[in-house]
Amino acid sequence: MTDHPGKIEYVDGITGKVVHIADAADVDDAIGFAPGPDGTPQPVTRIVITTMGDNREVRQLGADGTLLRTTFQRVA
Amino acid sequence: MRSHGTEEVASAARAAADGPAAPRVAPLDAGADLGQRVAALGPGADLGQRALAGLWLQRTIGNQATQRLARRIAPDDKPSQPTLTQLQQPPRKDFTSREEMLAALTGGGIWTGPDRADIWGALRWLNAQTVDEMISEAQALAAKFALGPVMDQVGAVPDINNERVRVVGLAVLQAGFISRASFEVQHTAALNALAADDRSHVLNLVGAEIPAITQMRQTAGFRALTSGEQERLTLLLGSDLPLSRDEPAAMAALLADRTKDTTSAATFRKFLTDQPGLVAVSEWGRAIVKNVAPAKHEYGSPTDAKGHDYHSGSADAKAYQLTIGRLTGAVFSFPVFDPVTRPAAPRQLPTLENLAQAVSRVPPPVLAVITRIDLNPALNPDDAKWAADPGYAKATGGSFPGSYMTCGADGVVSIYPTAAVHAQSVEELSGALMHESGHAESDKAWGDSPSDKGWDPWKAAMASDGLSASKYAQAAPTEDFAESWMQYQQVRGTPREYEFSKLMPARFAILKALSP
Repeated sequence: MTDHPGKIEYVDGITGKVVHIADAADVDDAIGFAPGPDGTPQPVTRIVITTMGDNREVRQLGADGTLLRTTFQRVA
Repeated sequence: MRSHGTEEVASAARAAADGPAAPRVAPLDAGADLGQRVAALGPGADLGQRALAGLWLQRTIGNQATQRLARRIAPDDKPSQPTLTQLQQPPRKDFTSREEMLAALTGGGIWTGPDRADIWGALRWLNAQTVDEMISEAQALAAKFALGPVMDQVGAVPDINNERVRVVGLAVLQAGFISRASFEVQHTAALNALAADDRSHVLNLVGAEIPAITQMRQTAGFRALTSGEQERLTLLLGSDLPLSRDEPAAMAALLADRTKDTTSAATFRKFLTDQPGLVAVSEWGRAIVKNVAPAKHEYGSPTDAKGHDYHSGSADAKAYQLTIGRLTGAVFSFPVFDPVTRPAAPRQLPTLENLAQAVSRVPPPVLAVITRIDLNPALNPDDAKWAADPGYAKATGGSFPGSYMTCGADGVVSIYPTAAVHAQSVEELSGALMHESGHAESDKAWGDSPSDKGWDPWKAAMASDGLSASKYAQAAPTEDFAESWMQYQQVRGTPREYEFSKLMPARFAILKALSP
């Protein structure tokens, strides 16, 4: 697993504003890492969360801006 | 599924795809047949030969290996996604009866090259009929769900009156989905070229005008608009695009509202800006994906996958190889892992057939990146981690919905059980995949932050077009792109591109350049 550069930004997808910055060490690996194109875990440095109505998208991006994983959620 | 070629040749081709930089073709020539096919991927090759070679290789060594191979041979040449009008000319086929045409077009099997010969034959058959006969033949095709693929290639056959076939075929295909005024706006020239009786018969197929459009066109305010504004408003109310779904009802409400000044053009210009009938967020998916015909798909007998490594935990599965054939001749194939033990009620998971139908509706740019689909038998274990994450709580206000799907950069799509009330429809699954591919595309092109300079042209296009693809699109420029991309991909390469190009011309120009 590639070392994490250290920080993760959380962004409100609607306003585009950074709402939280976390130390990667304090974040669960399931959130701080996501599979890259070759399937190996890559560090996530930016998480963009967009909520509209009951739907939510969580996009985890790598240090070079690569979209690593999108999670689609809905209020159960 | 590898329906053509031997494993030996496939291994050689895979090695070629993964191997060191290949100076053109010679080192790849592991066998005469393989060498010829690989050479045909080169930039100077005839388009038809190239398509056939690509198809053979896709089936033999898989999508990704073929694309890697193509990039090595022609690194400056993007993976081939020929537009419908760039297709090679298929062998000529002439039908002598409706029955013969229907049998050829509705037979089983994946769409491949020879099927284009059938489609072109059908277009020639339609062209040879009178207008009334053509209507009857087109209705027979529509009853077998075969008219859409035929109409998608109208314009490609060089020796027929394409405009005549197009206007009749589309009248049959879009009857009930498009307003008479919108149809007339789009096909003025072709309709005027028909005899009066024929024109009347064609327009009667489309049906009576939407009352709100008739009433709107009679107002002084509408007549005071420019001709361009009149066309856009007519299309907004009567188009076949999802964004038009509820606009006629909204216009009817406006016209019935005595506080609105229907003698003023400003009232109707405001309607064009406000889009009061825009599909609500809660309707997302159900209403956004419409009229998308599935490509041909197959999944044969499964194999046992003991202890499959689902993200939700190890579980026994049945592994199916889902193969999807597009009209362009491109074939996509990847495994789907269906759990032996499905989640207990009230949780639900899409059936394999629903999943296949959903995936077969998504366009090639999405299909090209899928490597595997997992139908997870249990909830996403990351849900609990998100729920406990302080950053997530700050960005969301603390509410936590459950996951129903993830898409990874590795091409793995994971689908999770949902509550029965949120059972995922074919349309929602297709929509989510298409929406997601839009984010991937814009991230690649301009980055993930709309404040980046790269986003300026898109933001300018949004301002210029005014209209939005959906309520969801209004959340942010990134969502606007994903939603516009999703609607564009539904009409890309089809006659319905016209409506999109008129309603969102600036966005259309950018999308067309990104995904021609």
